Amino acid sequence: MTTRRRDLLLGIGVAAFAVLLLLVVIPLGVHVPKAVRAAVLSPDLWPRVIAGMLLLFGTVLALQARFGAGDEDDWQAPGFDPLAALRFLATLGLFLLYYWLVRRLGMVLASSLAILAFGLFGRTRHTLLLLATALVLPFLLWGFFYEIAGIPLPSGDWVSWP
Amino acid sequence: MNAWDAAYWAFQTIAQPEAVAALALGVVIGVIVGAIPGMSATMGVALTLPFTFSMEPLVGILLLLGVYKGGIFGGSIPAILIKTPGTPASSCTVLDGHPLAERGEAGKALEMALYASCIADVISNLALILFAAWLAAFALSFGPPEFFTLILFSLTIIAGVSGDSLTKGLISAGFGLLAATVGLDLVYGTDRFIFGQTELMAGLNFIPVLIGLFALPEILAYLRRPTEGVGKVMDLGRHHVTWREFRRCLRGIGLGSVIGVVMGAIPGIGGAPSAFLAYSEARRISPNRDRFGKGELEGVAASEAGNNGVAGATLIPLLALGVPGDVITAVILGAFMVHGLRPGPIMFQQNIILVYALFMGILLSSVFLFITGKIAIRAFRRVADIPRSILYPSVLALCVFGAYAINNTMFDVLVMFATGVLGYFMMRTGIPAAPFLIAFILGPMLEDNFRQAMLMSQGSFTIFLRSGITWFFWAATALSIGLIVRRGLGRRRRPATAGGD
Repeated sequence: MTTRRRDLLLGIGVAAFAVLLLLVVIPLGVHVPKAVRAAVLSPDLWPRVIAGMLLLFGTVLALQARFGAGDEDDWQAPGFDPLAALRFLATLGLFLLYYWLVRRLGMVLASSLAILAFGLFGRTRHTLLLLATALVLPFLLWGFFYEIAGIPLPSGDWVSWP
Repeated sequence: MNAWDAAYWAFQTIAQPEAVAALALGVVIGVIVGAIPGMSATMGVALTLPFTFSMEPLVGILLLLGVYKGGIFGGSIPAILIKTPGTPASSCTVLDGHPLAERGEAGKALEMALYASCIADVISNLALILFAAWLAAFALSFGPPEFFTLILFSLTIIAGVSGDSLTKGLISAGFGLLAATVGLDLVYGTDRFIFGQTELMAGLNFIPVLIGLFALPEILAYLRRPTEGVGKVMDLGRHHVTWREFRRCLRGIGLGSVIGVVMGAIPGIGGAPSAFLAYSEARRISPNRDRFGKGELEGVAASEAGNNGVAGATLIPLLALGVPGDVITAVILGAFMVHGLRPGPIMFQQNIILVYALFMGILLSSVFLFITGKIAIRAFRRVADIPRSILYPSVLALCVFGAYAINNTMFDVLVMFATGVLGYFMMRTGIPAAPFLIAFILGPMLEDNFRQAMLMSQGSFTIFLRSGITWFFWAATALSIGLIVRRGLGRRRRPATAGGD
């Protein structure tokens, strides 16, 4: 896909999102009281103005991509890389797993495991250094946030520490 | 309280060991973060911010200012040693810094970068002290309509941080403004985009959004295609800057500092353009102009003076008017707010001791920068090749602790992950993240002042033309937009002409 085609799709996508905002999301998501003194004070004025801006700029981007003069930036992006896409999805999965583990093991232990997992997933060749970081860093952060700053870090359902 | 009393009390405040230690620590952290390719000064400030929650406001803000100043200099270390700028502002330093390193004179290049950075930093700090109070006194007469037009003008800085496509910068700003509307309405207290989530009633907190936008996309990009390597780290060599060489570079340093101050005080320009302008001007006036780009010490001095001269001056609009000059000062503005402070003219009246203490701390930061820089040149150069497979998982853990610590809720961690994915999508599609953040911070101020003005005038728009100040900002906004359009048209014509040739 060229950058021009990418920008065309992006512009159309932004404009479509703006229309969705104007027609569905703002009417459903912004509560307008009946006793609004002036239209310019209405809670939905600002979101509507912003949605209008997005509609305009999305359209402009699409038009620029469709009719604008081509230049040296119009490169051919590398083809779809299934492995990279899979790794991206796996990273998102690891994020969610990290979030879930914080609830189960507490912030400190979950962070230790997360550092290990992300380091191995990043194909580290420095396994010992990774292990040391996974053991030391979360405890240093616990020391600062919990012991010094007095922030109650979450403990887990399975391990009630800290 | 007169100015001398305030200065006396400010000195008492800044003389506290924790304030001095925070500033020194901040500079060290900044230099280290700046020296790591893939980490930016913005990312450094963002990741340090959660650590300041439990600190006194002055101590916390000094820590962040230290990170900011250290980060700008730190970027020159990998720029010279491995031809990879640590921060965008140090990209100009590569031009002459790396050829010097290839000749075995990396130590000399780094020393000159440090001297130029420190001198420019002092000049920039003095400009801040001289002009901020004057500007703040002038801004005392501002009401909501004046602030609305000022913030509207400040939003034109988005053009400066939009990169290659202004349209994409504006789209990014639109999304930032939209994200800022989430929460309870300012006037009526009704729901906006809450959809039953009580955590959203106070709106999206800016710190998870900031961390998500600036730290997570780099991690996601790395994990998608892990590559460990950076360039080869050059040896420092045994050469040092001689007095004669230093004197030869002074003119370029002075010029670069002045350019940095002027460009830093104008919102939206930032360190990189300032460094390139300083470099080209120094080259124009130098008798050694033919050696520029091949390892000329004057080139390193001018570009470093240009990018560090910006650092103090960008704080002028922030402290005096409460509007950020670039993305890092936007983050520092957020930090002030987190600590219950609101920069602007009122702060000069109600918190003058704090303002003076900040001025003193900022001056002191130049001294710490010099000391830390001297050590960093020898000690931190290996930081540049820290393995990314260790760095990024560690940064991720920092992000999670930091995002949680704001409100002690895991919801903010979810917000951070969500904005991280959004930031990654923006990175992949060429949409810059800086306009999003600036609009996210300025959006509520813009809306608040607009609606206050409307309440004052009972819905009449003529209130936005009520004074010379509003007229001035309308004119400045129109001029700024005109220049942006002209630049955009010029950029379009150039490739067409090139094609025609």
